[in-house]
Amino acid sequence: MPPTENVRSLVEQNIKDNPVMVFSKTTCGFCSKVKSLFDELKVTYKALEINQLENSAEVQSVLLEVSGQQTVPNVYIKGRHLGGCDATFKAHSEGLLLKMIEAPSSTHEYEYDLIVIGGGSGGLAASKRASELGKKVAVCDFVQPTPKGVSWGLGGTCVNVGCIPKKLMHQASMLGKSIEDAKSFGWQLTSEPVKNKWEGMVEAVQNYIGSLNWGYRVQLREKKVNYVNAYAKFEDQHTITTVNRRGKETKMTADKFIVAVGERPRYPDIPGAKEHCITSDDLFSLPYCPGKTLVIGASYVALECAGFLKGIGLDVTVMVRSIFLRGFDQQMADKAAGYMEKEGVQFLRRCVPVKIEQVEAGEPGLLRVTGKMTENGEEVTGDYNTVILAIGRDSVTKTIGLDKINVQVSKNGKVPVNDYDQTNVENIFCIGDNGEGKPELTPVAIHAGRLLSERLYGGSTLKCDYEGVPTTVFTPLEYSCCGLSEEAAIAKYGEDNLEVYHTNVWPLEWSVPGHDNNTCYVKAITNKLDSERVIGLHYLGPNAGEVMQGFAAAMKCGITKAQLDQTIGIHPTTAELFTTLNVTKRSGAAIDQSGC
Amino acid sequence: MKEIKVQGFDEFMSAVVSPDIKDKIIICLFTGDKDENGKSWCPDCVTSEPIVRKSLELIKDDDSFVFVYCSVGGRAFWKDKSNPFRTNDKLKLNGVPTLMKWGFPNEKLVEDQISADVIPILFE
Repeated sequence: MPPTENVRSLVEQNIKDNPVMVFSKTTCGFCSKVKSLFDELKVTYKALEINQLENSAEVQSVLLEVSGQQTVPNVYIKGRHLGGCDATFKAHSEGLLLKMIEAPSSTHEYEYDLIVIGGGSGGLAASKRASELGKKVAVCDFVQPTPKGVSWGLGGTCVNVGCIPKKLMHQASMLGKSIEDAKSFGWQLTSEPVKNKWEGMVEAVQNYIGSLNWGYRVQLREKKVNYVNAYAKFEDQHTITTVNRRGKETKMTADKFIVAVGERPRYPDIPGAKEHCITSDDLFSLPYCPGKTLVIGASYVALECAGFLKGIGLDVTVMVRSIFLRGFDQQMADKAAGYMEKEGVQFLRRCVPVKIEQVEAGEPGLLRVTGKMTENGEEVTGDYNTVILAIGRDSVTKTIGLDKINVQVSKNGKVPVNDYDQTNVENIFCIGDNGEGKPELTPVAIHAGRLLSERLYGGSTLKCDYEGVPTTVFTPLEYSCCGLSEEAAIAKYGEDNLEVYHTNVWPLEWSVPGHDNNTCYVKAITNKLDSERVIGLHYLGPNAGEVMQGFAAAMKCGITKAQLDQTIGIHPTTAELFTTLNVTKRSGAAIDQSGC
Repeated sequence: MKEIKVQGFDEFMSAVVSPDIKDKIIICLFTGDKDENGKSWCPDCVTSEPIVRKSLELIKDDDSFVFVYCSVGGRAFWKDKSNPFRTNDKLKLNGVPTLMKWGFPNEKLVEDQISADVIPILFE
């Protein structure tokens, strides 16, 4: 028998009238648990014991209809469905339950409490958290296709055209090296040369990305965040217009906004750049093997792409204007690039591109690149199947109407924000790569996004700490660091006040295959004015990211050189060298490694 | 929306390639077999089915959809990690119940994801 309208209104009225509503049965143990929890927390709630009603079956069928849950307890907080016993206790253990109950109710008349523009790492984290805290949230995400027509799904740069495909392709190239090394360890490989098939690698990587895109969409649904696959532009301080793929316009209003639209690769203003070149936005889904490749730029994107392309067997050249890895420790950057050169990557140093012409169309075709040496102006030309531009990335903040609402945007597209990630307009916030002076890293954006929502809606005052952020460059020889580069440390404290400890490292794994024993390198920079506190840690060697993460935690706790020395190493590892550093750079003593 | 009930892998595979539904959007529910009392050996499947059925009402008048209700088999067959539902590239199931759109093996709903809030994502 279908439930009557009376039953439906009984259920709906109870949900509406009671900030904390428990549909319960007196006979149910889980219901008692939930009610005891609310009693313990001194939360006022209404429990409707449906087994004492005549029409309990009807009530349960209405509950299934409105909440998708038939069982009891069925808990609603401020009109929003939370779930059963497990969901209630989970929210409590995460510290969310009381926040949801205590958060002030919305006083505005906008459609949403929060609209997040940009469905990348930062935007998704912020939106999910805000929704968990009981707010009505939407995320607008729209990927403008590249000049080559490539676009992708929900999740932003990291998932689609950044960290994830980059590291997987880096892994593909490292496996090639492992296969070579395996011979030294007694593996008998068949005689034919082992080769990587580009299409196979791309398909596997894209499949995985597809499952991540789907996972994000499902998560947004689960967290009741409205995902709008459309391009958002501000109309006024509380209104945006969104345009979807079919050109359909929709107006949306919100009390607050978070701008987290991220960055896209920069194109140089030279003939042929947009017509013939690709960027990292195209590379990871390229349907054909790029062949002989020129990478223009010396950013981490440039070196990582060049590194894995070389590693899977391609002929790779990198055109470098001045220095490698600007902003990173230059000694480490030179060592990382030096290793690439030793592995066969060619470097065209002190050279800038002038024009790119197509010699032959095709997949890949053939392109002629003209460059100019920066020192003597001499022209150089070279032919390549593929040219990848990796000269930098720009915030895509200039086309979303921020000017209309007077949000200050710097010339380079970055948005100045205060310590609370707030722009000069009080209801507009900005996180991730768009925030001026902030590290451009996924985990930073995620952390900042969560904390921002907790400050806005969870009564938190915790700010995002942007200092001491560790990171890794996945070059063929990986480089990880935390804290200051040697240059930045000198600038901040003066050379005399620093002690720099360092050593070459010969990973045990490198010994049997006979790899060079003075290539890997670690360095610790300490502040002599502050108990030799470690202010910069640098590691060039295998598994660099895995090594640095734990040390980053130690640095957050303020680890000193003495404490590092007291730490027992794990043998045999490369990371253990951080616990036995005893040669200072100043001493000029030898750091060569010859064996164990 | 037409509903097709199938039992086992072979019946499933022939159903989804049959010419009369090849242009349709095929929503598949994989669930544990029911015994003679109509109870499945898989308690989560029992919980999920009414939720799925409720959500299917959203598309009950839409002929572009077909719903395939697939009983995967008994518990012992299902727990065998080499059973074809788990190994076939077009399915790669990890558990029952699973709700998915045929042709999109990356886009599955499992466990708590099979809820009134989330299921309509498959109809988009």
